[in-house]
Amino acid sequence: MFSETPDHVEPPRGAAPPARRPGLLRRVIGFYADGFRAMTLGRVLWRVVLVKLAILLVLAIALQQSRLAARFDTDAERAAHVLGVLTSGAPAPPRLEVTPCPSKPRSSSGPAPSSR
Amino acid sequence: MSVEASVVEWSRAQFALTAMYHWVFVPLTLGLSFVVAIMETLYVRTGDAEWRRITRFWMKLFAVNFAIGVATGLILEFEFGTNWSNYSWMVGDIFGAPLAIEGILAFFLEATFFAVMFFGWDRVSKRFHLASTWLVAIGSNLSALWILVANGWMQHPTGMTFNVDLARNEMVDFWDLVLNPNAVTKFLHSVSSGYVLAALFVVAVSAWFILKGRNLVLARRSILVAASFGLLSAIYLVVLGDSSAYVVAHDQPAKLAAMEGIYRGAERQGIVPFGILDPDKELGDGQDPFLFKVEMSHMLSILGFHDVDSFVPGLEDLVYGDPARGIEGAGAKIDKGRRAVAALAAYRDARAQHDAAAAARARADFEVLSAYLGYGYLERPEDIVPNVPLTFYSFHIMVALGFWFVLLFIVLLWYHMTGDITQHRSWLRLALWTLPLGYLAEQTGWIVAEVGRQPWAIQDMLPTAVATSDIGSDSVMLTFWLFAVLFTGLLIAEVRIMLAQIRRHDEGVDHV
Repeated sequence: MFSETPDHVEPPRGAAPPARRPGLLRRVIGFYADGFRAMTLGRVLWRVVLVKLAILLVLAIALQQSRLAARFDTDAERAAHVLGVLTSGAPAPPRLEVTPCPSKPRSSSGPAPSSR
Repeated sequence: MSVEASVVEWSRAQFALTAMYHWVFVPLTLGLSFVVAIMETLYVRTGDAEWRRITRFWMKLFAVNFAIGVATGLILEFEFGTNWSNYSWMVGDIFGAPLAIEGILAFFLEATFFAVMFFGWDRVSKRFHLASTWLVAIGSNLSALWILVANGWMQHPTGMTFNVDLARNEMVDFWDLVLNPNAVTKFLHSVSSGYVLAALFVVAVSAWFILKGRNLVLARRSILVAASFGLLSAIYLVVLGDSSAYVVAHDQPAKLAAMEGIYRGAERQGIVPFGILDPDKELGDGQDPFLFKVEMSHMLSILGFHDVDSFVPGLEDLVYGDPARGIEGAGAKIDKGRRAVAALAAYRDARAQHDAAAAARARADFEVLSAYLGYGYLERPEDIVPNVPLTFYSFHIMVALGFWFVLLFIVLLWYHMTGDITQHRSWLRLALWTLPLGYLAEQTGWIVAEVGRQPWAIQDMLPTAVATSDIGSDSVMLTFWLFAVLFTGLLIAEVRIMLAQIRRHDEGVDHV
């Protein structure tokens, strides 16, 4: 396909002219077709890949409903759901004191932890 | 929020399972692609047909690993949507670009030139084939870049703003995201670790050949290339530890403290190359965290802050605070976080009632406190502490193994260059048995990265417990076991196919 041999070679006298070189697309398709035909280890690997992808596809379809994209129709609904999750439950009121470390001595410099 | 605790734990377990399996396949792809490219370069430069045979052998094993591993990452992205839908919504705008670029690069660059690499021997010119091999190596590593940019953002969110109306983070600076120091060091460290693993793989297989008295030409030459490549990569990993420590010290101080078992901070903080933690140690009990330790003084202050006198905070400083040193305790952060959550709720309610003035006030309140939003979901200040033993031991196992790999490569290169490596059977056996240790180092590294950042799914912004979907734990359990069976099957298939190819290889038969 990209070999270093020249594209056009003068035929010997009296011989039929060489066939025209196929176009790039046909050469690429031929490249892949020949490659796949010549595979040995590759056939085994492709089987593994295809089985793996098939299993993933089945799982993807089976679990589709748990995705936000499937449960809600619009971004606004999805956002509202997540906003609801982020704000659900009444936050506890601010605490009055910082929890002291039971064993940690107070810093010798600077103020002690302040109360609210 | 009232997500069942078991959903969180099963979702975490499932992601951990699939990520760890994914990371069995990926680093070998990252590194072996470059090993193969180097070998093919030697073939093209020298014209020596033996290098071509050697290249094609390792390329075959690369293909096995690539094929088995391909698309295992898709499962992780899939899990974002099913088990981590809240997290997925919140980070979608951030992750969209990197993951899209990764997919495009992987598909167009790797896949296209992968075909040339395997189908193109004798069909394309030597130079074009060599270029294709290098492009596959570069493409696979660039794919890793974008994934690690996404993970780096989770460890240190940057380049975004939080959209209160859509409850999601939105990217405002793409280059901030890409050049995030956390992402850069993580990428360099992860790919380098893959290079080391690939080197260990090549060395181990070659060692086996020598021990069996087979394929000696291939084995000797492969050890030379792999040990050189591995040594350079391993040394780079050690040097990179400096920037990694610096980044973690600034972005994730609790992770650093857990990695080193530091409960009480200190100036001129040392690192502990070896230590045994006291399993009964509790936060704030005043007891020594270690039953035994070897310490190198000052080193952590130097690595973490490039200042020998700098203070490195411990877990108790981060939990309880140290106002004198400007360390805000987790308790104070939780209070602010809860006010942020309340402001967000007030904003939501005001919008629902079309009260623009109240919404504006609530939004202003939220924006003052938005940096603490994630803390608002924690129950206790102690919740910011990750699993210390798991993080500590994983980190130390990884580092110890890293130094062992450096030594192994040096010895193998020394024997290769000064005599006949085939005579040093003990070291060849060590090389063989080091391969599983390479995989252990890979996994422990990710345990440090991901367990060490708990409780955060997004550092300081979203705890793991809030990130999960509100689904039943039964479905998560079911898919956990499905994935366990699937990935174990894939791993068994890979090992069997690889071993068959290795056992079958005979350099006496013309594989050119």
